[in-house]
Amino acid sequence: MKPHNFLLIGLPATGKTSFLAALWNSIQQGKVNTALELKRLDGDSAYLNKICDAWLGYEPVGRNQTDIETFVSMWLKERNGDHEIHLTFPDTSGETFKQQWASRHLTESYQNCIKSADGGILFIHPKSLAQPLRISQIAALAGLVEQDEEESAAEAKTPNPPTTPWDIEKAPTQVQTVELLQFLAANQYFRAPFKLAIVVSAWDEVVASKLSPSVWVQQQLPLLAQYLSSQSDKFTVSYYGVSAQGGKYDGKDLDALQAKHPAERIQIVGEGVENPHDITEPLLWLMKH
Amino acid sequence: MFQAGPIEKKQFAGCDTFPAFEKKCHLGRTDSGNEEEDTGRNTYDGPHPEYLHLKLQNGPKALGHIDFLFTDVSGEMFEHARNSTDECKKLTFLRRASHILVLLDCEKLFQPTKRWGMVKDAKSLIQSCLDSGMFEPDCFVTIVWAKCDFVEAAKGEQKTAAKALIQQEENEFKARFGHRIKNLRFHQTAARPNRCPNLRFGYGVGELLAEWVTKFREGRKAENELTSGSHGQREEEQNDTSDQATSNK
Repeated sequence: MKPHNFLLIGLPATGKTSFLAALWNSIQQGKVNTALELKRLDGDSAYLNKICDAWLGYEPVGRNQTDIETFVSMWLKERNGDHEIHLTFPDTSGETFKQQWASRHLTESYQNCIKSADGGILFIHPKSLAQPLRISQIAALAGLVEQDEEESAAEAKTPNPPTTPWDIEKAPTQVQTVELLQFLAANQYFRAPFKLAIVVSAWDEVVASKLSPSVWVQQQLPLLAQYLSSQSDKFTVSYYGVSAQGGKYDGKDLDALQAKHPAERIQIVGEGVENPHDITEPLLWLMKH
Repeated sequence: MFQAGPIEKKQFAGCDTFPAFEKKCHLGRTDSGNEEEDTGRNTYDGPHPEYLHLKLQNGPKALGHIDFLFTDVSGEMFEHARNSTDECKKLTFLRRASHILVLLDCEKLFQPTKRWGMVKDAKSLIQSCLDSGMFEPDCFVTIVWAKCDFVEAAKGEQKTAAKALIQQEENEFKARFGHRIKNLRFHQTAARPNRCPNLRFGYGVGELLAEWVTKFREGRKAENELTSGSHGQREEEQNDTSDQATSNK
């Protein structure tokens, strides 16, 4: 059986490994009726077990710091059927994606991943968004603009020299993310339409906004939203909000989390999501559409 | 502006020069440590400019994309062109341009030692480009009064005088070049209207963009039609794309 290969795409600390840890637990438990469950192990599961143990212990899941892809593989089956699915993911480190943007190079191993990819999951974390502010926005907030208006229009000002040189790594998250997708779409092995699940991680942090994940992306990352809308012939997208941890690992949240069954910590919202604890829903969408 | 959302219903659809755009934006952002917004200056490095690329979709339901190439030209380069038609002929990119913007700085309208020189330099540049045959007959030439927030923020007689000067100069541009430039236009922008925040960030830029999207050079339009109907082209070229080279000063 030909395996389904999905790319996990995301800048550092966007929740890729937490998603995998929560997934590995979900497909092996019976409390939450996930659409997919583990059929059998496939090769070395040490990495998955390690990150899953951290997740079950309410500890931050160690970020994948390596500069090579850690491949994970699993045989799943539909819970309400016999259809078997072989999934493989390269758990590419966020740093690797950061380097794509900064150094304008792809690693050979990532190139190979693209070659066999049937789709992908793009991760965005609301707490790690770089959203540079224009100086005038700050000035307006500080009420300095009114003061300026009083000054003579003829007065010429000489801006101070920059104290901080431009750093490509500090570019806005949405710019870097669009560039990652452009690199993907320009790759010789890219096959359109490419199925892309957009996962907004740590959804518990933004759920109070009462926005859907797609509207949240439109508001917070408008450049990315425009790109995906205008490139609909290249990318078929579906938006999800996923809280793989279920909440913060400190304060009151931790007590509440510890009172729950681990699989019920997971929260997921999005188009077509039927079970709010089923983290396999994006995978199901990727496989079926 | 596209990082905040679509402009005049035009959607961002891609960019091949992200780092260059980002570098240009740096001095206007808090990350730079500047107290006031600024833009990096280009240094003169011969008659071949760098280009910035932007791909747009003319509304969410439009088919295909439009590719823009913007030249990123130092003022010094145009100084050479203004002073010599031979130098001007080296600016070969001008002949490919669909739209040419000549920017005049409204801040200088309030500086008596600079205002007349600025206007004369712009006229000399256009004259040199026309006399050396570097403007194609059907290209669009737009005189842009940039930083118009200085005019809007001015008071009383100063404001009246500045507006009168703009009108007077527009009449002179028309009288001197109107018979040689079929598509001569005038426009006002305030990309960063700090002097008059009511004008909003990017004031006037959206209208320019709308013109670039809808108004092509006739020859260039024909090229696009040929390309879109041909076989064996890249996918992007089959999608009714066009190169819009826009020059600015």
